[in-house]
Amino acid sequence: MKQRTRGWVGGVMIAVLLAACQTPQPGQRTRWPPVDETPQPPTPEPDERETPDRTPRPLGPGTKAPVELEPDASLQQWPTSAEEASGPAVVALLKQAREARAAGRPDVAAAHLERATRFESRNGFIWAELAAVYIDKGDYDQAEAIALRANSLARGNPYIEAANWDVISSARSARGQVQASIEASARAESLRRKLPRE
Amino acid sequence: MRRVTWALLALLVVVSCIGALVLAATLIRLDGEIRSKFAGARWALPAQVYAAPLELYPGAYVSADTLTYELGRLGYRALTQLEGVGSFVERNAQQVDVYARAFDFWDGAQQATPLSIRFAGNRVAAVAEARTGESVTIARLDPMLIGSIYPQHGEDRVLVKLDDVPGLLPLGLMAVEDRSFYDHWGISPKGILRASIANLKAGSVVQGGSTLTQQLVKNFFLDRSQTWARKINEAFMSVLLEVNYSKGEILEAYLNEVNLGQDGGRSVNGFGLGAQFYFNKPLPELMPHEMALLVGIVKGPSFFNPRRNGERALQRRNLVLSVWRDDALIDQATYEAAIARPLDLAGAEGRGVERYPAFVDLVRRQLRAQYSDDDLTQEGLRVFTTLRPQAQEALERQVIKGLPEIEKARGLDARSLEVAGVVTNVEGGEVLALVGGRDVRFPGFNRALDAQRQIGSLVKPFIFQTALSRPERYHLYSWLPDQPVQVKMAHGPVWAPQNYDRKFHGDQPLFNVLAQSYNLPSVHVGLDLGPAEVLKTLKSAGYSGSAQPLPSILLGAISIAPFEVAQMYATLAAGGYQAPLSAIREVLTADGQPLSRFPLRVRQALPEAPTYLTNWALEQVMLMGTGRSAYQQVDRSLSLAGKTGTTDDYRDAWFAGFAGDTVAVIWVGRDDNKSHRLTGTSGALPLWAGLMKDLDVQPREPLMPSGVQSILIDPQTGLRADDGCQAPVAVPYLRGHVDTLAWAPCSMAGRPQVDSPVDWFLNIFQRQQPGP
Repeated sequence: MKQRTRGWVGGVMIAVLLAACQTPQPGQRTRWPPVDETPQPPTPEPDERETPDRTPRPLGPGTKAPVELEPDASLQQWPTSAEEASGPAVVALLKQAREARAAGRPDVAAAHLERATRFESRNGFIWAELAAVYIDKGDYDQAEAIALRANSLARGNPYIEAANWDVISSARSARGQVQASIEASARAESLRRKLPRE
Repeated sequence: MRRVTWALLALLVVVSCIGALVLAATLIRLDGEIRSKFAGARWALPAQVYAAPLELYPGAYVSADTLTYELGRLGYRALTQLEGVGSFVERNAQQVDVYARAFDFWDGAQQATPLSIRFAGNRVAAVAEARTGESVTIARLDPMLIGSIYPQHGEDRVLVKLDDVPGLLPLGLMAVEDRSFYDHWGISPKGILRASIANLKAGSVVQGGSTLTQQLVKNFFLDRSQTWARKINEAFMSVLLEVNYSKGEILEAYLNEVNLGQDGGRSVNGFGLGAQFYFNKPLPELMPHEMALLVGIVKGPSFFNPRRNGERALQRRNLVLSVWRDDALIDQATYEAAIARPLDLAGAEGRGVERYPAFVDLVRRQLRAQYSDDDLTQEGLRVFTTLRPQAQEALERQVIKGLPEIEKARGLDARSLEVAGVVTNVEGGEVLALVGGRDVRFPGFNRALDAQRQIGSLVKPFIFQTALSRPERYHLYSWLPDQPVQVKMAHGPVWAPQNYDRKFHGDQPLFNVLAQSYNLPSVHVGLDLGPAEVLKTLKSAGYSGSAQPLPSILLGAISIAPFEVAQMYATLAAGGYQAPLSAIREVLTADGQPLSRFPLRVRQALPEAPTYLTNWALEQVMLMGTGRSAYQQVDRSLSLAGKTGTTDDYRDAWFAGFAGDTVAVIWVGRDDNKSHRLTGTSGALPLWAGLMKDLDVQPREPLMPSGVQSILIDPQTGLRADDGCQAPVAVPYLRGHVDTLAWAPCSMAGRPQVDSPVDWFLNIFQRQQPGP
C-alpha cells in the first residue's frame, strides 16, 4: 500500500514523560465504529525506557531523540517490592518461597510461586521471583522465558524490569552468550539509574 | 492273621505319614502364600485423582454461594451449628463457617480446622479460625476425589486404617456377619449354628455362617468355585491367618478388601471407597444409618444394590439397624432416627469417582509420559490435578442444556449433535475443565482430545497474526480486497473459495475482515504471505500436526482436536507466551511423599506486539462481528476476544476465545461428519457465551507491550486522525511503523500540509484502490 510519509510534529517531551507510566485503561479505548466515546487526544509515545528490546532506530523526521530520564518523582508511584503490590496470601507464599530458596530447595520455592500466580496471575513481582528460581535450578531457558513474561506483566515498573534483566543476563551468561548477557545487564543498570535513591 | 493286622497297621502308619507330610507341605505352602500376601503391598492400588482444592484467602474470587455449593459437592453437612469435621453453617450471605477436613497436601498436612469465612460481594474478605478468631492467611478445602486409574475390569479402593474407622462400623459388622470374631480361631462351628438359629427366627437370612476371616480368605486368595478342595483350603488358610496375624490386622484387611458393589468395569472394594461411592464422604463422617447400609450390602452387593434395588436395600439396612439396637450398639432414639432416614445416597453427580471421565482420560495420558501402567494402577499414587469443579460443572451444564436447545431451535434430530469443550486458564496453561461428548459421564470417545476436525475460520487469527508481524506491509487498517480468488492447485483442479454469504463486500479494513470472517480477503492475505508462513505461525501457536502448506489451509481445511485448538488460542490469550496445557500439578506416593511436580513452563511462541494487535481484532469480532451475540448473555465490560469457525457444508461449528483469566473452546458437530447446517455463531457461540457467563470470568485488560502504540484513525478512510476529524478511533499500531501512515483528509495535521488537491484525491483514491 502506497502512502505518503508525513512528519509527525506532536509528541512533546512533557507528554512523553507522562506517558511513561501510562497503561491503557479499559474505558479509554475507542471502538470502531465509534459509538458513544468522545474523541481522545492522540496517545503520546512513551519514551525509550519502555522499549528496552527494540533495536535503535535511525533518527529521522518524526523520530525523537532518546530521552534520558533523571530520578523522577513520578517513579514513586511504582510499588518497589512485592509486599507493596500483593495481597496477604501472596505475600505469605512469597515468604515461604524465599525460605525454600534460601534452604536450597528451588523446586519447593517454584511450587509456592506457581500457587501465588494462581492467586494473582498478573502480578509481575511473582513472575520475576519465579524467573530467578529457575536460575537456581539451572534451567536457564525457562529463567529467561519467564523473566520476559514477567516484563510483559510489569506495566513498566522499573523495579520489576531491572530484576528481570538481571535474571536474563545471568541466564545468557550461563549459556555462554557473553555479548547478549552484557546487553541485558546494561539494561538492568540503566533502569536502576533512574530509580529514586533510597 | 496277626501278620495281616500288622501289615495293615504298617500301611496305615505309612499312609498317615505321607498324609501328614502332604498336609504339612500344603500348610507350609499356604502359610507362605498368606505371609507373602500380607507382608507386601496387599492390594494393587489405583492412582487417586483429585481436583484442584478450593483456596480461601482474602481477595479470592469466591462468593458465599460458590463456597456452600462446593461444600455440598464435597459432602459437607449443612447444619445450624458446627458439629465436628465435615460440617458447615451458612450464617448469612456474608459469612459461612466450615469445619474443614484434614488433608495431606503435597506441601504439607493441613489439620482439621474450624474456619469462619467472611465475604464482600463475590470475594472473600477475611478467613479466621472460628473458635479463636485468629486470622488465617490461606486455607484450603480438601480436594474432591474425581477418579482413579484402575486397570480394565479392576478393583478400586480407598485404603482406611482401623484407627480411623468409626467404632460402630467394625462392631456393627461383627454383630451381623461374625458375632464370635474375637473368640474363634478362624472357623467357628458355634457361629454357623448360631447364624442358622438367628436366620430361622428372623424368617430370612440375617447372618452368615462364615467367619470374617473365612470371608477375607475367600476374597483374598481363592477363586469363587464351590469345590471341596477349596473349602478345605479355606478352612486351613483361615486358621493359618489367625495364627500369623492379630485380630486387628485381619479386621483392617477385611474392611479394605470386601466387595461393596460394581461400577461399570470397576469393582468397588472396601469401606473407604464404599463411603465415597455411595455417600460422597470420608468414612469417619458416616452416620449410623449410612454405616448400616454398607454393612448390609456386604451380604450381596448386587442383590442389595441400593441404586438399583432401593426398597430391598432399605429393608436390609433397617434390619441391620434393629440388630444393632438389640445388641445395644445404638440406643432406641438413634435407632428410631436412623430408620426414619431415606437411603441418603449421593446422586450420580456426586459418586465420588469417575465423575469426569474425559478429564481423567487426559490426566492418564499426561501421566503416561512419566509413569508406567503398573505404577498408575498399583502404587496408590495420589495425583493432584488442575480441574476446577465449578468450571467443569459450568461446561457440563452448557452441554447438557445447550445442545438439545440448539437441536430443537434448528429443527435437527434430537441427539444428532456431538460436542467437545475445553476450558483453561490464561497464564499457567492449566486445564480447568474438559468435556469429550454430550454424555458427560460416559467414558467413551474423547472428542476433546481425539476428534480431529477441520477448524474453518478459527485459522484466520493466525493468518492475520502472520500479516501483522510484517508491519511494513500490514496493519489493522490495511484495506483488503474482497474479490474472487482462483488458485491452480498442484494436482490440477482450480480452487475458487467464496465468502459464506457468497457476496462481495467491497474493500475492507483488515480487522473487519477478521471480525466479519470474510473468506476472500483472508485468502488474498494468506496467499500474499504464503501458506507456508501461515503454517509456521500455526505451529508456533501450538499446532502439532503435519498439514501441508496448501492454499486450502487458509480457509481452515486443517484438522485439529479441540484440545490443541485451546492450546493455540491460549497462546494468543497470554500475549504470545505459551504455557503447554497441563492437567497435573503434583504426584505423591501412597504415603504422601512428593514424587513429581509438573511445573509451569513458558515459551515466547508468538511475538508480543503483533499478538496484541491480533487480540484487538478478536475483540472487534465480539463487538461488531460474528461473535457479537455473546454480549446478549454477558456484560460488554468483559472485553472478550474470540473467533467463530464454520467449515464447508456446515460440518463443524466452533467457537474459541478468551476473557481476562479464562480460555474456552467449544466444538459442535456430528460424529458421522455430516452437515448439520450450523455455523460457529449459531452452533457453538451460545454454549461458549453461556459458559463465560457461568464461569464469572474476569475482564480482559490487555497490557500494551512496549512495541505497540495507540494512534487515532479516521474510520472513514483508515488514515491518521487528529482533532480535525469527527469521531476518530484509537487503534494499536506497531511502534516504528506509524510515521509512514498518511493523514486523513479531515485531520488538521493533514490539511495545511496537503501540497495540492491532488494529494487529497490521492488519499481518497488510496482508500478505494488499495495496494497489494
